[in-house]
Amino acid sequence: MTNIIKTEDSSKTLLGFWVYLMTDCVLFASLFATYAVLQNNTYGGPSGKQIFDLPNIFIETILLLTSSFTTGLVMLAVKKRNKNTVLLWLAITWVLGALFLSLEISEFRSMVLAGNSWRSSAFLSSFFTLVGTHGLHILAGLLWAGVLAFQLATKGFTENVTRRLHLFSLFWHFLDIIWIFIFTIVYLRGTL
Amino acid sequence: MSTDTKTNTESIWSYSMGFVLSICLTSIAYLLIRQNGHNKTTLVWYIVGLAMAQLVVQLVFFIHLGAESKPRWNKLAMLFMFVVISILVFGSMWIMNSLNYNHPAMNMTDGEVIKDEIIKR
Repeated sequence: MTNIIKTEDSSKTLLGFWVYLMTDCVLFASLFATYAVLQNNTYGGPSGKQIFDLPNIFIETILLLTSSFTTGLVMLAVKKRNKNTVLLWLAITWVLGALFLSLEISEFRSMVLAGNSWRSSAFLSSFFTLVGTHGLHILAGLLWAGVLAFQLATKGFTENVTRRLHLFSLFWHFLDIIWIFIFTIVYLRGTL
Repeated sequence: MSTDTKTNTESIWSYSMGFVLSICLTSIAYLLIRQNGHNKTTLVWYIVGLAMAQLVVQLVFFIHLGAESKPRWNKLAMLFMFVVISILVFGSMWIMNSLNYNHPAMNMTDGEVIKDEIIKR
């Protein structure tokens, strides 16, 4: 009986988290709309074509994609209740995510140092807001993954930890999907 | 019992398949842009199509949306989200791109409308 109640609780949490992800999608959609409207308003400054470093962005994309894949491997290991494997794949996911974020930060840094900060034009404001919001989500995900690894190491596969791992995997896959659209609409479309 | 049916889809095969397909789709889009062989509008349609394909691939192979048991609240929430996003994004673009028509008269915007509508003065 308690088992039934617990799984029901868990599925409710899952649905609640899914609804959060959907609202987050709407947040990103409004930032995408803002970007789409403002992307040509460069105020005499550089356009995307002049400042995007596409090979670098491609590497970022592959890193995030691979980390989304390794999150899947985390979930497979969770199902087998194999603690060390879970921790290993979680660590790899974390490292890939951290590499992605550091590449993004260095991209932002070089843009700002070249005088193309968010203050330069409407295009750059919307660009930094959209991509930066995604970066903040990645940062939150990295913190989350760190806490989860700690909880798993100390508590083992309790109901709560397993559920949180599941939610984290959803969150991470979701961020990868958002990135595909940033990659396509901001970077690929921008370099045309 | 619902976890039992999910076991079939959440396998190493499913994740690997999703991964390989996503890498392919991303690389194709990237190479298309690097080569820049087609005209601009065609390329934009291609890369948006590839992104949509990748969205479906990841929803099926990573998030396992098809494995959800009835009632499918997750799918329903997502469907509603798509509606909201379409209205938000395409609505914004539509309104902002036709601003020239709805502005108080300024010489420049007047000129744009006259040019767009091919009005002869």
